[in-house]
Parts: sequence; structure tokens; C-alpha cells
Amino acid sequence: MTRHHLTDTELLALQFDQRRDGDVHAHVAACATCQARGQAVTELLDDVTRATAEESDGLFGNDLLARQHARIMGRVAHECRSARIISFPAAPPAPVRPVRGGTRWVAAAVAAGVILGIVGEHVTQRIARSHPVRSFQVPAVQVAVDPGVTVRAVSTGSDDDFYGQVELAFGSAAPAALRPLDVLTPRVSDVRE
Amino acid sequence: MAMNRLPRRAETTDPRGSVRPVLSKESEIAGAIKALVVAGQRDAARERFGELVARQQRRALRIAYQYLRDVHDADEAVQDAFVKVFTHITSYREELPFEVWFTRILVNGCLDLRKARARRLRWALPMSSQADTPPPEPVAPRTNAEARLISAQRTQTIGTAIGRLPNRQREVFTLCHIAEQTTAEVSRALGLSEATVRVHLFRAVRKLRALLRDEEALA
Repeated sequence: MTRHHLTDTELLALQFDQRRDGDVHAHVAACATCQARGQAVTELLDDVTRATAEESDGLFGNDLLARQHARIMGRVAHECRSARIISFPAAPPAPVRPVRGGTRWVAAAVAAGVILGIVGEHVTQRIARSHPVRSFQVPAVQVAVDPGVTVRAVSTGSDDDFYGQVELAFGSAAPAALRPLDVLTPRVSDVRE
Repeated sequence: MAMNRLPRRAETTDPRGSVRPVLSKESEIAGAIKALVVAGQRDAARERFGELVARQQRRALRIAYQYLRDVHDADEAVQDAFVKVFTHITSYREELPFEVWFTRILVNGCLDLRKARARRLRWALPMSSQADTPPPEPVAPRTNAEARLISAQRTQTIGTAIGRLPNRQREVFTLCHIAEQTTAEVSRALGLSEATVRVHLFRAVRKLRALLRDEEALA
């Protein structure tokens, strides 16, 4: 055997390259040292193959593969859907239909109704101003309480008076203006007396 | 001693005397899909495509995971690659192995994703000052806990060693060793000369050996 031992590069080339000359193969077949070195490289690469396959196969289980397959097919189906054809240039706008006679009558009736409503409201307001609003007496409030408790019955006079007081009270920020309301409101202590 | 690790693809001689590889089952299916798409039978093409996906899915995930080291990114890259294959099936050349064409699409997608991820991380605040530590292993359910316990240490060691390889060496090694492509196919896929691919591959294996030797010595 005249050939020297294979270099590391030649050993690796044996692993990956299919087109080595016969001389190299013949040497490896005859040389125990190169065989052992080559075997070490083979084992290393086998380890790498096993480890990488185990790693990725452990991460991507069968269920994940099935889901991924379904997603891919869904995306492909979506991509394959035929596109909607948009006409270009755009289609001409639909012709405007002539207004029919019946529609005109309906529009005139609606307009007349609106005018009548406005006029009627004005007339009603005028009549209301010429006749003042009748006031009515609010009956005295009788609170049902226990026989032993005395309750003051409160009468507020006419509506105008009452509303006037309320407006006065709300119109001014002074606390004194709220007193009439305060007087009208029965207190808990009064009820208990 | 059977030393050659690459799958020796069968070859045939055509009437003109040129040697061509016998096409795989995947290549046949891809050719049939292309014919169906060209004929306008897209539903039938989709059915055949499902078969093709099922045959190549696991291999594609192994490659993508080696590139990206992230379960979700690998899943996304594989999905995108298959969708691209279907949408561009008319540009597939039937006389070439489908695996080479598909791997090229997949690898390009992985590289794009990696670039996008790097851009994202450039703007993200670092969570820790340990920039040199390898990325954390993704968490995913495992089926066989016992087997995992047995091989976890070795797997982690090898995974770390592969992760420490320079990018180009890792790419070449992944394609040659995990995607089981010849150096000629890898050179076409990566746009490198075959000699360059071989140099990267040898360096990768040599470095891997050294790294694993160091790890074992430390252990």
C-alpha cells in the first residue's frame, strides 16, 4: 500500500461526496486506521442526525403536523379562489327614473300636513294667552301617622304661588331663598313629637 | 465500510446520452400538479398537493427549525413555503428534483424570517445582559418523557454545538446533512460554487467535532 493515511478533509469528503476516486476507497478498505477514523466521523454524524431529528420531531408532534396540514390546505384553497372580476371602465350609472304623478300627490299632502300643524300650534298658543290658567286649591295634606304623633298639615295655596317660590328659591343662590321650601318640608323631629 | 452519508440518487441515461437523476415520487406528484393547474383543474391539483405536503412536511419542519430555532417561526416558514410552491407550481421544471426546488424556497423564506426577526430585535430592549447565551429552547409538548430524559443531554449538547457554527457553515451543514442534499444541490440552492459548499461543509463538521469534544471533556 503506497498511499498515506487520508487527511481529515478527505475523510469528511468521503462522508458527503459521491464522486471520490477509487484510490481513496481502496485505501480505506485496506487501512484499519483510516477505517477507524472514518467510523468515528460516521458515528458523530449519526449522533447529530439522531439528535436533530429527535429534537424537531419532539417539538412537532403528529397533532401539530395535522393542524399545519389543514392550515396549508386552507390557505391554498383561499389563494385558489377565483378573483372577483371588476369591470373596467366602471359600468354606467343606472338611468334616473321619471317621477310618477302619484308620488307628487303624496309629497303635497305631507307638506300641507306640516303647514296645518304649524298654523294650528300658533292659534292654540294665542287662545291660551287670551284666557289665563285657572288655579286650583291644593287640598291640605293629611299624613297618616301613629295616633300619638302630631303632624302639621301643610297647605301650599295656589300653584302659581308654589311654583313662584320654587323658582325664587332656585333662581338665587342664597340659602335664605330656600327657606320657604324648607318650611314646607316636614322634618323627622316634627313627625316624632 | 459504508461511509457515504448522502442518499445516492438513482440515475438514468436519456436517448441523447446525458445522465439524469431518476425523479423521486415527490417530483412525479409535483409534475402532475403542474399539469392539472395548467389544464385548469385546480380542485384536483389541490387534492394531489395535499399528498405532497404530507410527504414533505416533516422534512421541511426539520430544516426550518434548524434555521430558525423557534417552533412558531418554523411553522410559519413551512406554511409559507408550501403555499408559494402551489402558487408558483407552473414555474417548476419537471426534469429537476422537486426537493431541491422546494428546499430553495423554504431556505429563502427562513432567511427572510430571520432577517425580519433581527430587525424586530434591534428595536426591542434587551431583557438581560447575557448576549452570548444561546436562545432559550422553545417549549412544546413532548410525547415520550422517558425517551426525552435519556437523550435530552446529548441532544442539547449537539444542538448547542450546531448553534455555535457560523451562519454559512450551519446553512450548508443543515442542507447537506439534515435536508440530505448533495453538495451540487446545495450549491444551486444557495447560489454558491460547489467547491465553496464543500469547504463550508468540511469546516462545519470539523468545528462540530471540536466543539463536541470540548463539551465531552468538560462533562
